[in-house]
Amino acid sequence: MKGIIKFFVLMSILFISSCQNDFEEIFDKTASERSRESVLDFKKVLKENKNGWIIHYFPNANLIYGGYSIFVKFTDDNQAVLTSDIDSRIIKTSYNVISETGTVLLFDTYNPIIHFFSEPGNDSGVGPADSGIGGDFQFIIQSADSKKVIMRGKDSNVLLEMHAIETDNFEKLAAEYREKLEEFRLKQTLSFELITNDNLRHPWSLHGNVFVDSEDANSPLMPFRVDLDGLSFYEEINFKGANFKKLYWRGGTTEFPAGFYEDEKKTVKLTFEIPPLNVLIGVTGKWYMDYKNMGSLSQEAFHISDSVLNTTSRTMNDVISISLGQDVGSEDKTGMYFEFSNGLSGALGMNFVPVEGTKDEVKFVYNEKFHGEISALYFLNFLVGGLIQFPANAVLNKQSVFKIEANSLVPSVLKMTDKNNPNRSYVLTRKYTRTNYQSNYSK
Amino acid sequence: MQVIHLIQDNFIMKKILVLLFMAGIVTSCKEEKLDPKSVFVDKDFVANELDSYVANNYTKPYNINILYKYDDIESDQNYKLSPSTYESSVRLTRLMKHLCLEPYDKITGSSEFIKKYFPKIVNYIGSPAYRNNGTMILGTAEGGRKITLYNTNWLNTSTSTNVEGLNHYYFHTIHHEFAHILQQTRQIPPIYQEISKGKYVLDSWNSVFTSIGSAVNAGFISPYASKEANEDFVEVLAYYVTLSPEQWKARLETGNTAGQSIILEKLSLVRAYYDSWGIDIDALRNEVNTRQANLSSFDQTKLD
Repeated sequence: MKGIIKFFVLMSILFISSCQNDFEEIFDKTASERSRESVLDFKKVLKENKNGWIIHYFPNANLIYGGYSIFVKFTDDNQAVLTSDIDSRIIKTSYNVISETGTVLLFDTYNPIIHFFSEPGNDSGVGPADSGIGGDFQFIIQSADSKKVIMRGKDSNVLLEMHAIETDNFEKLAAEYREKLEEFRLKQTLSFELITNDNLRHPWSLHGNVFVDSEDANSPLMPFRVDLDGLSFYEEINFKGANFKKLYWRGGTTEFPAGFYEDEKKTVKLTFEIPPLNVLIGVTGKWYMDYKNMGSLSQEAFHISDSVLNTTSRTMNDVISISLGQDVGSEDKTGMYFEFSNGLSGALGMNFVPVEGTKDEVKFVYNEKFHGEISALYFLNFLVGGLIQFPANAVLNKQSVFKIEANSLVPSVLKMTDKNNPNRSYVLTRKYTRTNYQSNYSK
Repeated sequence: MQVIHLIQDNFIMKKILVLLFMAGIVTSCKEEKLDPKSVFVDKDFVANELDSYVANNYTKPYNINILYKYDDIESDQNYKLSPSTYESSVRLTRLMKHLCLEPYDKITGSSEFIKKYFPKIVNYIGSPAYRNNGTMILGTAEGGRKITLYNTNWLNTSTSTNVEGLNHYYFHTIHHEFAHILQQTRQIPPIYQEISKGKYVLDSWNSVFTSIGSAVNAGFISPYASKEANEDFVEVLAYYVTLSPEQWKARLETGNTAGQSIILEKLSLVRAYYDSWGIDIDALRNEVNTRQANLSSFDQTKLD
């Protein structure tokens, strides 16, 4: 009996105290109401800016690829259009704003503009086969107003900003960013130096959109985006006493004719070296040629190549790109590269030999490195045009010296002309040209 | 404790304590009123053509939902995945009805069979789920409730009538997983398990049998069939239904006659099993094959 009484007393106390949940509410609304409102408010913010937004997008948790600009316009409740500074397509997608661990913005049908960064490497062609670049297409919103959204990548946890575009020029703005990034790409293989206030020069190496201090293997990466007026770093850089988050493009000066970058306080300058043209052509990646812009003798070589190719059931119409230059995947590989529409490719190795005493004259010497039997067959005849010198072949042993002209100090277009015969000439561009020669080629 | 001593043997106090106890239970664990407003904000959701098509052609007749927009909760977060494109989703949704559901409807005489047994959720993922060893997952099923189809973005204008590809990526998986679901209701005949008893290799299936021929030689229609008896069973069904008679014969002929005999013996048991469901698998195969052969005249993008 004593035990029963003790039991009842204890149980009464326990029940009265433990189940009480009438605590004072801190918020005037329930959690679900607040979540719902947050979702609706955020959707309103997105849609109300009819000009669209620009995402300062840094894929990958370790920021190893640097940053890019993705442009998005939320056109209605579930639809958006996207484009970017690396992809000129404007592609519609669906999006959603949901409440999970916070308000989440996600692009929930595939859109190559943004999902290129998040898809497996087997699909994007970049990064590990299973995980790819490591970017996000789902973002946890940290704060939002009509001008700026701060959000965190759901997978990468990288903090990102999305800024309202202030004028009605969505497509034009994106095009300008693409142009700026393209211009910057021309500098991709150049040597950079950061000059600090004490006039010391510190070599920086460039990998995509990431700078690295070449003198310190353990220094942190310096990822950045290419903006219209310069380079915007992901976070403030503290380098040898200098602090800056942005380097502004300054254009050409007497000291730096090709231009340079500088911080707002003018404490540092980022400069780059342009090699002579006859060196530049061999160290700046691939330069693409177009049949249309070849001299008449060079075009004739194409016709000869065509008849040779025909013996292998192919034609020059199957060739979709031809380039000259450096395969950046292999430092010692320079030559001529071909791509076919069926996915096959070929390369003929050549050494690019600057003519001594000149800055703009070059010879091409076959170095007996090639892959693809097709390459050897029709390159041979194409090159009867005299582009290269075969050491062991007297007939082809033409010593063609090409003079190179460029469209600017940091060139995007080169013209190569045989000094002995101006009808043998080639125009080369940095822009990857996938041209089916059928559209340009006619006898 | 002094209090307890004082009230000991006091009848009235005992009553009060009991009442207190009851009051405590009644009053303290008050149920909180549920918020009538859902946290799921669907008032802004505007159904598009595909949503309407799914509602009218899947949900209403079959109680099936198609999740074609990416949802983390429904996806395997162990893999880096991409959403499906809208176009691929439209095509796959149309094709699944045409090549999977409607053949069963025709053979069984109504939509009831699919409505009762087919998984209620089909989840689309645009990319494959790549493992870091280079292999990839094509499709998964969960507890009879959900099928996830991967690599839906492979399906586009240029691949839309590639029957071999469609079966490889999607429809073989669907028939395979659907067969598993039927197994949960009605087990495969025990005698089936005796045919290749002792020869199943579990997770070593892709290293033990590296070609179709080697699998057929051992009496398995595919290397995956060598995993275990239930997988073996559904693989026989899935290949039999999706391959034409000529393709089935060619597949068997990649192996020796001994292996072929074993597979044919298994097929007869599969046939009998499906007969017990009222499904003639030869008629089913014929229906599926006919639709596959005429895919070029089937408009995969039409939603009405």
